[in-house]
Amino acid sequence: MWRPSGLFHVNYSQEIAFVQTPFQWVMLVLGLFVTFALPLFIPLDALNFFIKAFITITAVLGLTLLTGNCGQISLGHTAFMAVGAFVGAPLLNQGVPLILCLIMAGLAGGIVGLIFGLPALRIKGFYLAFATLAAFYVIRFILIHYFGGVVGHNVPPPSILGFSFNSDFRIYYLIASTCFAMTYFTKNITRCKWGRAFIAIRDHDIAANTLGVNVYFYKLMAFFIGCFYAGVAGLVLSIYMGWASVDHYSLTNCIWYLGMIIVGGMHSISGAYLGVFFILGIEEMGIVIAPKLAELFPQLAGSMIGAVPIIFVGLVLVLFIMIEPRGLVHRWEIIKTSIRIFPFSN
Amino acid sequence: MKKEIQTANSSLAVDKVSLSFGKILVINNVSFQVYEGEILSIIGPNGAGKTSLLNCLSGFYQPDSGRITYKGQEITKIPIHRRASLGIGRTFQGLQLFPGMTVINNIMSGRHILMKTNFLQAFLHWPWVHREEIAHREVVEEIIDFLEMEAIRHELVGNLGYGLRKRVDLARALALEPKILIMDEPMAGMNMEEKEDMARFIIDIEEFKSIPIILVEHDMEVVMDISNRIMVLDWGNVIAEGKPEEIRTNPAVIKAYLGDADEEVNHY
Repeated sequence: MWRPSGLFHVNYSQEIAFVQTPFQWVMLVLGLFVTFALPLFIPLDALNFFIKAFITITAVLGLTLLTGNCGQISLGHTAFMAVGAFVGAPLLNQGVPLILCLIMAGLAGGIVGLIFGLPALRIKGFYLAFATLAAFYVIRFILIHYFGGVVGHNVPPPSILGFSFNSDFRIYYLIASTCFAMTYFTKNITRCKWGRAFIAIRDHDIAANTLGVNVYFYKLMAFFIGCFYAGVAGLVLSIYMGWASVDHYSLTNCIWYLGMIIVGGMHSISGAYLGVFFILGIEEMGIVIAPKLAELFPQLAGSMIGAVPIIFVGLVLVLFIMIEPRGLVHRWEIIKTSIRIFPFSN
Repeated sequence: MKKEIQTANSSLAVDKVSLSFGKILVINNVSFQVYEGEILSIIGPNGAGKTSLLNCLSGFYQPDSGRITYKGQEITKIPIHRRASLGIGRTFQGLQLFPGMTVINNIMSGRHILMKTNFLQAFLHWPWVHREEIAHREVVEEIIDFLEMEAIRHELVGNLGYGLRKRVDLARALALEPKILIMDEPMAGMNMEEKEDMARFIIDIEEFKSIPIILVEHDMEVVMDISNRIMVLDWGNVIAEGKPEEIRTNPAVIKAYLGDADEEVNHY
């Protein structure tokens, strides 16, 4: 929205471009370079953190579109991830090419999401949240009873053009590329009439309707697109785990995803990145601190270890809703502006 | 300044429309026509049924009986979103904008029905999508120019003042290239200067785009100045219809607005 002083767009094309300034080009190339060089320099457990983060970002981007942009709260996001994994894993087992599997997983997640998004045609807000919560349990039930859920599916290491993703080190590249591709798609959706229709529905559905936006259709498409992301993320997670099981897709994660978009900033792509890294960082911090706290308070030790990360995340969420409801991305904008207008900022 | 309106060219026709909420009759057997190139104002005291009537035209309410035809096609029961593609533009009484979007994007969302990008194209942002965005952006810039909003085009609508928001609302309605414009209290809550601007815009729209405008407004001065024809509603009934100068002196209208001595007694 606000540009640094001295930077003017001279045509409309620049304004909707993915990368708008030379500085952004430098940052993009640098960022990609660092991301892809990262595994060479960091230890394995740090790498696992980044793998987890990129998978989460892929899923959370879907939620950014669905909840942040279109305003439809979903508490069933991880269930749609599970659908993606349970459709993609058998296909991978049968030797279907990886790209095709990812698309199929996405489509499966999307179609199931669309079906369970149907209540959104009649209900909003809290009620919709509970309908999607029901969807979570229904899908879980169906996967466990009819698709071999508790045991799950073995996922062989997939390969593209003979390059097998058979170690965490290699899977990192698959996951990071998927995440970046999905980020690009998200940007594309949000910068055309679809993104505007979603925000219009979120902000004022009746007005959107009078402008000719078919609110029912676009709500369902928001569910389809959001759950497409979930499906892809679900399959990628099962590839990383080497196993597709419903236990990897818990309700807790789903609520944390919502927390991530709140902390990061509901409607923006960078918000998804910031939120995921922030919450996962807090969680990791909790895991590191918990044993030390347990030493200090031995009488609590047993329950402490598991509870501390959750308490940390909960505290952060409450603080964000109170202090910065627009998320980290808004804070980042403020910081950027104050740097830009430096001598005059306060 | 007021031109003669050709009564042969009917744009929108409302035929014996009635609407009730429960036992309350909101609109009682109302019929009227809107002719090409005119500004028709609908006035009446609070609770007369003006906004309900407009909501019937926009499709938010389904009339209990009666027909609404638009350019010869019956639109009484068609879904709300299809009316936009027929060319019915609507502005709102309150602030029914999209506060999370910039002014540009609010107006761009008005061009929704004119843009053809499908899901897959949107996903991949094909060059064609890019060109479409820019082509529509150029039209939007013309509207911004027309309504004198150049300075605020990149502002978030949520940060704008009331008068400017009303202007964005009008711009958004114009963006879908309406063949008829329905305006619900475009001047409510504005100061004198904003009212003058808005009145000027309404006259300009009627003049340059030559589309009929249905206007619901409380400010009598504005209504008398800019309308070609006025219809007066009271308790859901049409009590008068005619040129502004006729309405000004119509005893039924004066009675509806001011009441008379006997009725005062009956009310309390």
